[in-house]
Amino acid sequence: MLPAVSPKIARSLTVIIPAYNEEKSLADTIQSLREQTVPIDEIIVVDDCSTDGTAAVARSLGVTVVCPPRNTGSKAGAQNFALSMVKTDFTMALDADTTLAPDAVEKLMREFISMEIAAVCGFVKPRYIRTVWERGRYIEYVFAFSFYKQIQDYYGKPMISSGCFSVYRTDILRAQQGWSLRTLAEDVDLTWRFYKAGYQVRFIPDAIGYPIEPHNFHFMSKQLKRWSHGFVQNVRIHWNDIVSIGYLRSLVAVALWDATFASLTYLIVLPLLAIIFAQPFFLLGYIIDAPAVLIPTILRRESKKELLQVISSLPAFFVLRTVNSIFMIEAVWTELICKRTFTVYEKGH
Amino acid sequence: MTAGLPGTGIGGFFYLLSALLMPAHEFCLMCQGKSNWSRWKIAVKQSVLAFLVIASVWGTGWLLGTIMSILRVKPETISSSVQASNVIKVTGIYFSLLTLLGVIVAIQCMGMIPNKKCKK
Repeated sequence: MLPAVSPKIARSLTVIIPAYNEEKSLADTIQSLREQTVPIDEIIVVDDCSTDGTAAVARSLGVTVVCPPRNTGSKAGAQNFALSMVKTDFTMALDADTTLAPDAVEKLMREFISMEIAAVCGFVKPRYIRTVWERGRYIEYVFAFSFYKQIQDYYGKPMISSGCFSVYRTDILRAQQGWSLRTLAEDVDLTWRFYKAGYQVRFIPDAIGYPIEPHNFHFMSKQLKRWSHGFVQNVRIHWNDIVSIGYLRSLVAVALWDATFASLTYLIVLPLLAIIFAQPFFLLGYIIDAPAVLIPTILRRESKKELLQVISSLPAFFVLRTVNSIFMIEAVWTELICKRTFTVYEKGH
Repeated sequence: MTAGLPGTGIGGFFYLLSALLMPAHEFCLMCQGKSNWSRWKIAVKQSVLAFLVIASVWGTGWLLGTIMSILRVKPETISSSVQASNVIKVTGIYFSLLTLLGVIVAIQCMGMIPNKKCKK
């Protein structure tokens, strides 16, 4: 067993922010880093050949700006470009549209109490909760992060160290060759590679990040397509390794089953049953678990005002869930049945 | 973000069972000297949450079954109305649990097979 690291040892941290046309959101992200309760040694913005003023905004705020010779084509590519420049013990990957609670970094860094911990991730809540899609994502995140992910962490296997907001041990990250370009969900790939190598990943629910989520169907569909295909690609690549890793194999097996058969039930079986038996009550299957989703979400709220927000956003969750099921089925069909790999990386906003 | 559909299918049951087992799991760790207070807090909190979720879903099913009975009630079919109560049972809860059991058993069996192939 590797020796524990004393928490009193100075923790040096570099934050990598990959950015492609992020001039509208980048300043808020950098400002939230400046307001952290612990010092950050360096902030590196990777301007991935943006066509707007991303680089100018970053330079005006006094952070390090690097620009690859040509567009890297993905967030992973941009992050890897900066990884070679990191000189600190810890590296944080932060999306250019994500702001952090002032104590988020401190709470993440505090958890690196053992050399076996390769990554620590935090709780994610949408910054804006206005449209149907943002509301649906809000319920989805709060439910999953307050219930599912805490259970995963308890059993030592958070399924994903979220790419938008995670801190890594730099030496372990480099030993894993950084973020792989072979899938559209580089965060899943990296997390599962950590587990294969015997490292641990932690989830800290009190460390909160606020990304901007897709606000309309156009951008939501791009993100859902990327996530769906990314998940299935990772299952295909890592399957032989996953089955030998205790709780993780159950997590992934259940998630894959739900992605496929629950989606089919949702989209095809329930409506068919309602038609065949002329019983509209079968359609109750779409919302019968509303209390199951509502309770963890309500208990996680941070204020009384948020209670109203949770209740009013719940219907949007079921809309998003239905749309998500379509993309999941498409991804399973394309990647696993047709064996065609989807590789186009498109942003969600 | 986890893939799949939060709250649906067998995933919901999987996490509920995982949460309900947390206190027992923590007790085992305590016997091995590997437990601590913060872990106990999380175990208890999540298992209480799981109980609340189960109670709420059961209550919803009971309520829906009762509403269905009221809407379809006729004096000669009182017995069928009583049987229709708690619609949760008739919406496949047992089927979902069996499916979950099947998936878990299958994946555990796969885990026991020696891993000869490693994809890179």
